Amino acid sequence: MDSTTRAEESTAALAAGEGAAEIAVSVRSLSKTYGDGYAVHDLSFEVPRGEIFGFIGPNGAGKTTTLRILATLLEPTAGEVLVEGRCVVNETEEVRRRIGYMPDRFGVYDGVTVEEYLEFFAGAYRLPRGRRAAVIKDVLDLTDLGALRDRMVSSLSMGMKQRLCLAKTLVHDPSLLILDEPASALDARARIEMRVLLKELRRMGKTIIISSHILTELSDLCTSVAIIEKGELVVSGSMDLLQERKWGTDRVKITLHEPRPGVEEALVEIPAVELVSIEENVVVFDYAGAPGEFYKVLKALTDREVPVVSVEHDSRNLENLFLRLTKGDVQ
Amino acid sequence: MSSSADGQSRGARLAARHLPTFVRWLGNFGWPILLRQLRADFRKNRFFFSQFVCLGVLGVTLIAMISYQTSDETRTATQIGQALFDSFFIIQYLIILVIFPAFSATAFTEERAGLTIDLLLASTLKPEEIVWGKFFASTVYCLVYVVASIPLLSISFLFGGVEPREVLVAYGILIGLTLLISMVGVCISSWYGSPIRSTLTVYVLVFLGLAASWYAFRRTGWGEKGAEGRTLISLLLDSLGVGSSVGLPQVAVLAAVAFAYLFLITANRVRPSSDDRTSPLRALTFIAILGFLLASVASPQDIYLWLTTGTGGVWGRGRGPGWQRGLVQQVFVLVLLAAAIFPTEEAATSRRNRARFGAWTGPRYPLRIFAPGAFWGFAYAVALTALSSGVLLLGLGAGRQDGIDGAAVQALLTMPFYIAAVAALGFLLAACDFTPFYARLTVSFVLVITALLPFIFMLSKEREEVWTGWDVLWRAYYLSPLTLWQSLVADPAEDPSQFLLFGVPVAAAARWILGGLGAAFLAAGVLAARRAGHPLLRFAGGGDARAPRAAQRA
Repeated sequence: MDSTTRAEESTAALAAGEGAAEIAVSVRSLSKTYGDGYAVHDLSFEVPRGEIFGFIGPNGAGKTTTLRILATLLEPTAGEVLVEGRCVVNETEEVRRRIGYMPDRFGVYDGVTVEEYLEFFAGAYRLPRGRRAAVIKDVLDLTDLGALRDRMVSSLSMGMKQRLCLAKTLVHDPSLLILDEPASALDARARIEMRVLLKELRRMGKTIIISSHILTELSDLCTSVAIIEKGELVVSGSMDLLQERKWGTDRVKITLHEPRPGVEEALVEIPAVELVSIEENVVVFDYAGAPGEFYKVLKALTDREVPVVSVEHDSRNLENLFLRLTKGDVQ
Repeated sequence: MSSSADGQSRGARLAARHLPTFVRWLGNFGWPILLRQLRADFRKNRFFFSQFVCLGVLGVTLIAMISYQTSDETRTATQIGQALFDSFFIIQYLIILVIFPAFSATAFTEERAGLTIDLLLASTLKPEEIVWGKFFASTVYCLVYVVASIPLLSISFLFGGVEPREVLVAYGILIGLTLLISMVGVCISSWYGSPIRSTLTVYVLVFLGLAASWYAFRRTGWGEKGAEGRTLISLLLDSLGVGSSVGLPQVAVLAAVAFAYLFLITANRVRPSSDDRTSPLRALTFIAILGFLLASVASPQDIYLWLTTGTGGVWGRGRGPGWQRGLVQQVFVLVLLAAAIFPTEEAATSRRNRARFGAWTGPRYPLRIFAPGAFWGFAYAVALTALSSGVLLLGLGAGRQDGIDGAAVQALLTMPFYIAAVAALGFLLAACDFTPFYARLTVSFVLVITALLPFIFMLSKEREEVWTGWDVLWRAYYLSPLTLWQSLVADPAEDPSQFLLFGVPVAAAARWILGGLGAAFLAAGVLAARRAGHPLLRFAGGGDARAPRAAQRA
């Protein structure tokens, strides 16, 4: 798929999503250059309010640069970025009040307790003194850190620090959360907990932009995604829309009782089947047809007396979508 | 009457409504950072250890001094008291200068190294608040030490010989030094990512400061014959008194300006590039020049005289050419500072500021001095210099009964040409799309090189060799502002050759060459800008609205 086609498709996706919901973030023709090279080039997408928006791309694709621009930490070279209608360049303070930013690599202040740490950020976000204690208690309860309020920050584990950073991000009750790889250093259990917490935050009405390289987790979590590569947008839109437009095909794995000749020929005759690969008695392919017509695949196999043992579907395969749409090379 | 009463009540109402907000704002200014830093730091042993060691060194030294001084039976109690006071002051000065910069030099580098800087910058704290909080947090160590040392100072009072005024001035100097050195440390720390580099840089500056302090102390005659029975502070006060080229008000103004300058620069450094505010630096440069001029002209005695006798009384005191030349020298330094800032600021102007000035609907021309734009930066640099020179000429003319000092006039007339040349060079660099850093670096380099030229040529010249006017000219000797400065420092009665080198009048030749260079740079800059398609010479609108070339391409 060439870049023009991809851009056209992404624009179509945007157009289809426009007006469907109130817009929390609007990025138009965003470019950021460093010297002669560009980190982000002519990037446009929108994030509707209340969504969990996955921002996906290979290493060096420009994810962190875009998120830092959204967080007012970088100035765009060209283009316009609006957060809830406020420009990140001209209305910095207004934007900062509305966002909670969690960078991909962060540290914590040593020598203070968990409560003092949050108190510092409550002050930094100008929360009235009288409200701080109650807000900190709520945030600690939400992030399940209440029992650790008097612990020194330096003694916390990496997972706890990650949760503490999220708690700090929530202390001023922002409507938009910008989370850059929030689960990168977490173990499996902590990731599940983080996912539950993010879903809870969405239920509370917050918009969440999350970048991650763990795509299987995002596919379960996100309601919409944008994929960028080499600083350019490949595709963006809601997960349902992507599914509808067949950008996200089903990944199907059929296990046979024993290898049989003619399986590949039987499958490629069906127009909705793509990328067939056979290894021993395992057949894997992409299915882009309607779910109600999958019986045709099984019929083609049973007609040739292929002994099918099991069929597995992965219908919202973000990883598959990502691999199909990106080339994997970085700038 | 009634409207006036209404106005007053409205004013009072406004004050009642907004004053608590202002007080709250003031109370919160940098407070979260200060509180967190103090909580963290006071839990470490470093604070108590450093206080203990510093006070211990001071105490032991004073006890040793008492023992040494009292063993000499020829010394009077007054002399012992003064020697103790001097020792106290010098040790305090050294400790503040050598130990405490280490605390402030890591103010921002530890945030960067600890990956906490982004969390801080993404908050709603203003950069000024962040810098203020960091500054206060690093100053607290030193201020606590200075206050804790007061009981040790009181030992010297037992012997007498020290006036209360000297004690107050000594503490004024120590506290001023504490504030300034902390601000220098915080400023340097904002430039580096590594704590080691920032600390090393601060210590290089500290040792330069030590050398400068030693020179300043020795210039007072301290420790020499004829200065017995007087403390270092009283000698310092004398050297900064009436008739000196640098007075106490000037030192105070300079220190305040330096502090404010460092503060603004640091705030700009920690600000994301979208929020650049270099214009206050222009304003400060302007105010610094005015303030310095005022401080130079008016000492407290002069103000008193002016209030009691009028202008005639001040000028009638006949302050001599030494004062005038000192004044010219100081203005030279400040105007060079302006020359380094104005022309290159354009390159640093952010989209935010360009948009602001573009949206300004009020009268634009008076604001141009704070508005972005290489052309107007250049124009204002020249105008400002010409204005300063004009004011100085008037001052010199009024100050002398026997006419205006010819050498000073020559130097003053040459200054605008020098500034024009440097400003035009900056303009050229900006037109060639230099980054702000490299533009400033290049202009500073040119300034330093031209200032050093006389030294370089003098060192390379054989003692017996006679240079003709042409030899000197091709070496660009005349371009150096220091040549002009030297011609002012020297007394023409003693060495008239300083003004006429091999028959060539230094200042007049410099004016021709500098003027030509300025015109050449300016023309080159305009051509470069036009060729690149920059709207550099767009006179309408707010500033030059120069967009980065990359954005234009996009």
